[in-house]
Amino acid sequence: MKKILIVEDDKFLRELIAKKILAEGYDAAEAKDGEEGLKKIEAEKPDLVLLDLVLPGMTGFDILKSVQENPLLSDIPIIVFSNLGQRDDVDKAINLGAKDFLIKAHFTPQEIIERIKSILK
Amino acid sequence: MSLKQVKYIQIDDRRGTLYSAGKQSLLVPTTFIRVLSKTFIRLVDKEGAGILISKIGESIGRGYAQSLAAILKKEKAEINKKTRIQLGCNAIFMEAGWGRLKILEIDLSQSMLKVEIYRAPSMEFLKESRYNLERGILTGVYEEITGQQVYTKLLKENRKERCVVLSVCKEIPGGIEKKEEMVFVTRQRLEELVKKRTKELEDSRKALMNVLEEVTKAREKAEEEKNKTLAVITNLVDGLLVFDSRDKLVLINPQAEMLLNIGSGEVLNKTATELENIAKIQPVIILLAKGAEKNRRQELALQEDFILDITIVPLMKPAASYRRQKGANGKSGSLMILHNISREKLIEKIKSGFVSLAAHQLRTPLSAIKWALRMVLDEETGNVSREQRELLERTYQSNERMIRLINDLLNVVRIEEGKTIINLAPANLDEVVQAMINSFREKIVLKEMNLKYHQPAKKLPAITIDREKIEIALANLIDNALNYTPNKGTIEIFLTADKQNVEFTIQDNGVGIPKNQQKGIFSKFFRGENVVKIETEGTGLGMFIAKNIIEAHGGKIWFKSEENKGTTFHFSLPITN
Repeated sequence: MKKILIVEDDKFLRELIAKKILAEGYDAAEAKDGEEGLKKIEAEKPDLVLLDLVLPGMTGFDILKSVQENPLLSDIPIIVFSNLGQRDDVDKAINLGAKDFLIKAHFTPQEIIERIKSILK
Repeated sequence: MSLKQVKYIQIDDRRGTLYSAGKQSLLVPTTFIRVLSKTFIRLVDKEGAGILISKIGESIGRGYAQSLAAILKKEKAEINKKTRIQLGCNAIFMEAGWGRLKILEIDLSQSMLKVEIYRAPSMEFLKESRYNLERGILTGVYEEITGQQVYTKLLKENRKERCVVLSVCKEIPGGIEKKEEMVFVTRQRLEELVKKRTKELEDSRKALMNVLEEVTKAREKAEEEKNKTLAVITNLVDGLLVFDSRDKLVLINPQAEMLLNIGSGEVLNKTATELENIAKIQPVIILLAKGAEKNRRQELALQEDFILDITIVPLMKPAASYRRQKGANGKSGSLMILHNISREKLIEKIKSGFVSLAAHQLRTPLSAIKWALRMVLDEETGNVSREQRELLERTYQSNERMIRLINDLLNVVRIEEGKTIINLAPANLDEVVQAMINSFREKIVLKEMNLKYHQPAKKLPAITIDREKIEIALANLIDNALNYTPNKGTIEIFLTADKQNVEFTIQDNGVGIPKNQQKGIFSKFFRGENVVKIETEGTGLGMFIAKNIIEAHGGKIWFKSEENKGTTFHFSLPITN
């Protein structure tokens, strides 16, 4: 069973998307901030990470950078899902190795699952 | 010396009596013939022209005339032989008003009169005079010469000015030596002349004083202007650098010194090339070297948080003044204005950060609502009744509206920040339009719209655009056409090009825009009165955003609309931009 790590500080959002992921037959892990997120990426080696950008402490960009710089982790696909959406942010995330960039408010959970599926295919 | 032969002498005693000296011929110097006219003693030549020797004073009267005639008559035999005629008369005057010159002798060989000078109370003598009788200017040294006996010859006379010029000669052994010139003028006239001269001098003094005063005033005014200008320059809140036509720095105000952290002594009177070697001013100076005939503005970050807005203004001479000089380009220097925009930049950065954060913060709960509702509606949490579904679906749409409103607000903020265009890249507009139409496929099907896209006949040239922004503009136009055209309506999209522009047209047969509201269509938060009733969605920002995006690309946007008939929007983008 493929494991998806959700790094998201908003509890309700995290729970909603985790519920959806579980319903789709994936294993879901959760992290509520950047530090925890990076730790879980290192410890649990998930098959995919859903990563928020604005997080308390370590930001999503910092995590992307750490993952990109770590050869053991750099193969893990990361989908950024954030409510930032300016071109600068998107470019920055893609340059730091993000596989996709989703603006949370513009996607339904189903659409997010479809993106996940297309990457894990 | 030329002599004229005089036929006879007539003597007129002024009472009408003529004493003729007979028919003797007499050679008389032409000088006298010319000068001495209106006479009582006339020497008349063969041609009958009268000549004056002198006027006889009243006191002498007939007796003297008779005696003179007698002398002339008596000595007639000798006259032709003699060079000098001794006139033993008491007093012979020159013309009245000329003063008294007692003629003692006529020297025919020298064409001279030997005279004794009498000084009449009304006369003055001026010796060694520089004169200009025609212009009435008279200067000279007054000398008492009354009583002297001199040889004299009349050189000039001016009746109007009432003066004569005589040459005054002295008898020396073996001849006569010309000594000096003497002006003989009436006292009255002299006074007039002196007055006139004094007045002239006074006038020219006054004129000179006036000129001096004007010069002083002009100098004071210039000084004042200079001080004023200097005060303005010195107290200007912006930094100012002035370069002359050879790019030499001729002025730097204190603000510029402060902004560049440099002393005027270090940089003044140095050329741009020299200044480029000074690290502190170098980044500013190289902007000058880029040289252009037009005003230029540029932002320059001297440090990360220290940003200057630099305007370079070429100082042009007025066209008329440089056309005369060949080869001159009319540039008399450059002005560089340094405006510190660090604070504005900081505020902009803070604002930008705030908006971004606010958008994020607003979007997060909206995302949560959206996801939760969607999951409920998709029955992932159990069955939903028809009634519940209807309510939740409408809640979901309201939430979607809020999300769109935030997007629009973010776009407006970016436009107002001047960040309309960020990523310019060549793109094929045909492809962009097709992609945008495709993104509306679902809605087109749902509303059973008949949407036709008329592709350009030929392949369009690639144009440089910010694709993301053009997509927003296109989406707004297509979305409006779909929203404000009733189901089963017709929408036609055209894309055409000429040599300069690519033109996009979208035509619908929808509700149209009321005529009286068409003026405000591109303003913020505009919504047609007719559409508010039928379609509550819409932020009123779409056309404002579209217009700003198109215009930021150097393009134009316009429309035609008739209520209940339809609307046609056009925009054009330049091919070379």
